[in-house]
Amino acid sequence: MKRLLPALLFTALLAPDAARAQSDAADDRSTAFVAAEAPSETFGPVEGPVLFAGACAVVCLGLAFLLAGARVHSRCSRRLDAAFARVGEEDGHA
Amino acid sequence: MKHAALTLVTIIAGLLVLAALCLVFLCSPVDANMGIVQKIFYFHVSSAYTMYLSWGVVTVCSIVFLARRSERADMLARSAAELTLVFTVIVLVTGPLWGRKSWGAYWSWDPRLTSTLLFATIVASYALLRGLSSGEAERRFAAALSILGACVAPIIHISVQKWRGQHPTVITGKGGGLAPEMWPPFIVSLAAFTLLFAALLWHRYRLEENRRRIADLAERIAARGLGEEDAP
Repeated sequence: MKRLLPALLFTALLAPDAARAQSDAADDRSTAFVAAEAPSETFGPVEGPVLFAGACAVVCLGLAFLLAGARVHSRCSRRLDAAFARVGEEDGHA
Repeated sequence: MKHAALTLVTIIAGLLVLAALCLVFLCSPVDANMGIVQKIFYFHVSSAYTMYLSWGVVTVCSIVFLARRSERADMLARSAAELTLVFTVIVLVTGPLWGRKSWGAYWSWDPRLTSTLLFATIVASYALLRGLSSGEAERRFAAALSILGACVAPIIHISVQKWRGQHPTVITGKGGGLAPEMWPPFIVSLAAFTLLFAALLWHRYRLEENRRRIADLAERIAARGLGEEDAP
């Protein structure tokens, strides 16, 4: 207990300063992205268009799936509405 | 009407993602130090931001569910949690790809990377818990888990400033920063991911709504003994 108390006091009083000093040090190492005038590394004449077209194709495919899914979903919702109406009607007759 | 609005939001989200791809691949300049790999930044940061946004939705809805037992809030929380998992996986895939080029290693036990991995396990636990069972106790436990995840999310954000680590800090008040030509693709990417999240959440919420309606219908039919005729 005698050792724990000073340790707790040290943590509470001095640790925030230490953390702040570390934080400043971390900020000093922050990264800046700078545009290259003449980039040493660029996409090749084939790999660039292929990569870009591939990415666009994936997005379009995803979009098509989402839209098709939404249509199917709407149809299911309408059928569910009809089913609920039927169950409700039958409950009413009973 | 709702279907038309959802279709419109989905199409706009898809077009924005395509616009972001065009800007990132064709218009944004190559970074002087890192080269082409820097372009991962546009998707990595946008998905990280969407991950926070999505988990924010989960947490708010979970609190509403715990306070009011709202079914809608619970459905929204479950839907958003699955999307959080998707965006967290994107963050955890794009990050190491960037790290391999920048640090020479796919993974490092850096504070931000470690806390993100911890967050991913919490999100996966939530999704697993909700996927395996739909009981009341599991729903409440999952809601509490989402609040625990919300406590980890700020740690991910401040870890880079508070503790020494390798993860770069680009957008901060002090130092770092983006070249002016890099801002438009970055803003469009953020907008695209936000709208994509909104569209996917809407789709997933509708799915959850119909799933519960079907369960309800099956329960009603079973209660009336109609299902027993089909039984062998």
